[in-house]
Amino acid sequence: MNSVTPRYSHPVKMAVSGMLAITAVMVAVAIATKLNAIDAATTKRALGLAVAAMVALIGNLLPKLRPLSSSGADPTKTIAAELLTGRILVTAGIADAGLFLFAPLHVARFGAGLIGVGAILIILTSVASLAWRAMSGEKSAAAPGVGISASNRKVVVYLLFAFAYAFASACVAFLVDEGARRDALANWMTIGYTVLFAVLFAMLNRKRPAR
Amino acid sequence: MNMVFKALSDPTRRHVLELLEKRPMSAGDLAEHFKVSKPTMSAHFAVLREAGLISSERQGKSVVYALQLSVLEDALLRFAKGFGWRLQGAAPVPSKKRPLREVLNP
Repeated sequence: MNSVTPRYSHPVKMAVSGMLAITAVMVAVAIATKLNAIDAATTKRALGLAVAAMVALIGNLLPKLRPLSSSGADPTKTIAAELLTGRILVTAGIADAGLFLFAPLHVARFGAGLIGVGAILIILTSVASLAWRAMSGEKSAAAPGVGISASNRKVVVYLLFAFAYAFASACVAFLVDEGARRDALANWMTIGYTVLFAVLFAMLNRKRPAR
Repeated sequence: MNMVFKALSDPTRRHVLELLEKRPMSAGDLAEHFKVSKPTMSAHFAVLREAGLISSERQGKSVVYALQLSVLEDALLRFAKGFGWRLQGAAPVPSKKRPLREVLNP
C-alpha cells in the first residue's frame, strides 16, 4: 500500500509544534517562578491552563493523527473511537481551562484532576474494547482503512506517549496536594513510564526478518 | 481554516464527507453516488484533500479515501448540516454536469 500523503503530514507537524510551544510556556513559567517574578498561585493557574491547552490541542488533532489505524481493527470503528477520544479530550481541556480561569484554585485543581482521571478511564475503556474486538477476530465489511506512513506513525506514537505522561502526571499533581506522597507517586510513575518507553522503543525499532 | 470553509460550502463535498463517515470508500464507490463526471469528482476530492478533511491511499488499482476530520472540523460539519446547509433530501445528485471552474470556485 502506497501512501499518497507527504512524509510528515500537516496534522503531525501541527501537533508537534503545538506541544513544543506549550512546553516552552511551561518552562518559561517555571523559570519566572524561580526568579520570583510571579507568585505560587499564579504559577499553578498558568500551569493548569497550559495542561488544559495541551489536552484540548491533542484532543482536537487526535482523529487526524490516526493512532489506531494500524491496530488491525475495523477501520470504521477505529475512526469512531479516535473521534470519541478526541471529543472527550477537547471537552476535558475546555472544562479544565474554565476551572483554572474562574474557580478558586483548590477547587480548580481537584476538579481538573477528577476530570482528567475520568477522561483517561473512558478512553482506556474505549480503546480496550476496540482491542478486544480486534483480537477476537471480528471481521469487517468495510474497505481497508487509510493508514499513516511509517515515519508519521513513529512520531505520533512518541508524541502521544509524551502527552499521556504529561497528562497523567498533571492529574496526579492536581489530585495529591501532600508533597511527600505526590513525590513518591511521581517516582513510581516515572519508573513505569521508563519501562513502557523501553518496550515501545524496542517494538517500534525491531527489525523484521527478511523473507 | 479558509480551505476548510471552502470545502464545506459545497453540498456535493459535504455529501462525500457524510458517505465517508460510514466507512472508508474507494473513489469509484464514491463516484457512484453522484451523477457528475469523473474529473469533477476528482476536483471535489482534491479540494477536500487539500483542506485536510480526507486522506487517501492507493490500494491496488483504486484510491481509497477516509475521513480525516479534527474534532473542531467535525463540529463545523455538524453545525453546517444542522443550520440550513442541509442537503436537499436523500438525492444529492446535481441535475447536470458542472464545469470544473465552477466546482472549484462556487
